[in-house]
Amino acid sequence: MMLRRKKILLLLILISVFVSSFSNVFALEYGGIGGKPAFPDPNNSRTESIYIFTLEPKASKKDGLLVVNNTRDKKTLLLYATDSQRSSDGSFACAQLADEKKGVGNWISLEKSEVTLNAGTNTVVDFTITAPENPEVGEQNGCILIQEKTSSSSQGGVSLSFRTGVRVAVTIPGEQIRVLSLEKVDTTVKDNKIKSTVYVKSSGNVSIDTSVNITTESIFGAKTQVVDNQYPILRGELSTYNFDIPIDETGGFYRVISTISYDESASASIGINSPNPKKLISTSSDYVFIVPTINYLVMYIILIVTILILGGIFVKRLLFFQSVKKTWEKIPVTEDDNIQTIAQKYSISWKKIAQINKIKEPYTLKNGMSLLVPPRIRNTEKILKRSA
Amino acid sequence: MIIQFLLTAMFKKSTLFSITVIGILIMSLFIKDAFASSTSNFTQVINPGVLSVDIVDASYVTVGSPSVVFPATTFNFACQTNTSTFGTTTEQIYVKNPDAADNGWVMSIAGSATTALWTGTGSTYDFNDSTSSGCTDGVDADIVGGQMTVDASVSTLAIGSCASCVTTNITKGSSSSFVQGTTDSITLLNATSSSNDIGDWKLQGVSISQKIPAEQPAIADYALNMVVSIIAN
Repeated sequence: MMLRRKKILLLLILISVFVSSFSNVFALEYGGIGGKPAFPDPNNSRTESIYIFTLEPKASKKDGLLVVNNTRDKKTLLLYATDSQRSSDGSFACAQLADEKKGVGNWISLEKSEVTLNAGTNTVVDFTITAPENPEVGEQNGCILIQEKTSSSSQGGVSLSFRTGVRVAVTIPGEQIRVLSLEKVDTTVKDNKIKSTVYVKSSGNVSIDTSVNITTESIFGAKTQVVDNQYPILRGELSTYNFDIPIDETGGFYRVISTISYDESASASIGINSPNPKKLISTSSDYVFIVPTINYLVMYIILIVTILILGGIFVKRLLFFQSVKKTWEKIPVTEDDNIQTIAQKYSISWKKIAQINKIKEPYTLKNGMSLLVPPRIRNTEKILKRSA
Repeated sequence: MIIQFLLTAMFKKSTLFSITVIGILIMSLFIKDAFASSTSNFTQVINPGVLSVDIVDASYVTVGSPSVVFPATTFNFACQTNTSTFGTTTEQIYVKNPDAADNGWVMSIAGSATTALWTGTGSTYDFNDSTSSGCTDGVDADIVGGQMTVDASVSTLAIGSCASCVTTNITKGSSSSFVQGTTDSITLLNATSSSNDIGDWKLQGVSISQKIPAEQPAIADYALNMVVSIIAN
């Protein structure tokens, strides 16, 4: 009896393997846990990753959070809303679960605070957001966060938890002020690279998607665009952006020109631009020196030495010709003279006389022509020195 | 014939009949498909991807209880600084964006609460008190000093398993210290809309230094809970 059951079981397993080997249904997954808006607005692609609401005071809106477990394990996930906060560089960040909620975090009511999802599954959790009676006009931000529920660790050091947040941007209708200023560009040289920090300040009451463009300019005026990125500048915040700027191996003096551009029209909003041209603001840093690489340094040294040698030769010749002009005297050529006898008489190379007097081959002298020759005194001194 | 012989030997006739019927039914499912259409009906389920951050080892396997361990330090009558590294070859900070944040994202680190403290047995010190550069207690609600500084600018950012991805348009945060109520989150990475829409990246070597107030009691295993967040722009 037992043997027969085992055989049946074996056969069923074989059938299962057979069927599964022919199964053409499979799932693709890309790891991780997190969430995103469940019902994005097809007219605004930004709503695929963040919530964008416009709410009158006391108005409510319902929406959904798609909570995803793409790991290979069953997970219990905490869902909670918080206020937003400024990160160290002015970027968007979310407050902690334990922090007191005073803003948008307090406006959000999630239908569930915890979900358990099997591996590779997802679910939609509904929530309602309600604006208070007297909210501040402009954009307010908050977060909905998804974090794995874990037991607290008692080990020493920093214990780490991880969470994915979805930004919730709520615009309270009224005067929308969109004003940015490019405060400054700091430039330093570290490890022979330009490190540039751009400071952008918002004086408005909404976040503004801003293009930050960085261009380097050599002292000879050659420009190279190295950065053209878009960042959301949050309301009332000073945002700083750091860039490591690669410079040619040739080195030299460079400065950094930063340009920001943004839509200052009140009709623009997150993910939606107005038809108006964007406002541009530019500023530049001081020049900084970048040391060339060793190959270029050797090349520069060789070039400089060559220039110095050639320059020295040129200067020497220039001085010689100036001295010829000042001190040499003209003598008439007689019938018995030739270039060699004159050279011997004045103790100078016949080639030098030919060069100074521009006499060409076959170096024949004509009776009556005049020749420039070294002064007699110097010549006599030379003869006396030789005889001594 | 051989198969029939073996099956007859293994099973009774009634069982064999049942198995044959089940087999025919299963086979008919495939045969039906084959005759109904000249093409096979392939089905794929692609689960929605989400932006996520985790700590993984060199083989991209999630590390169970990730932590940043500071080297042991000794009791000191003066304020001292202890430094460690967040993100190592065995515990890499791993970011994945599977087309879930096309307009960029920000990864930051924060204490589990602005009022959190390094806690040992019967003793604590702060991580976000800027008074005297973290060496004495300030005006916050607690009565302890201490300040943590995070410097992502010295870290190394590299692409993960996505060979065609690049690290351009992802900037590292600069050195910043926690200050309660002013700097409660510190940026580690800031990816712009020009960064890869689909990609994964790993970060190693973020410097974390902690000011420990003078005469802090020598107790093993001071612990602090911190949270790493990733948020789409």
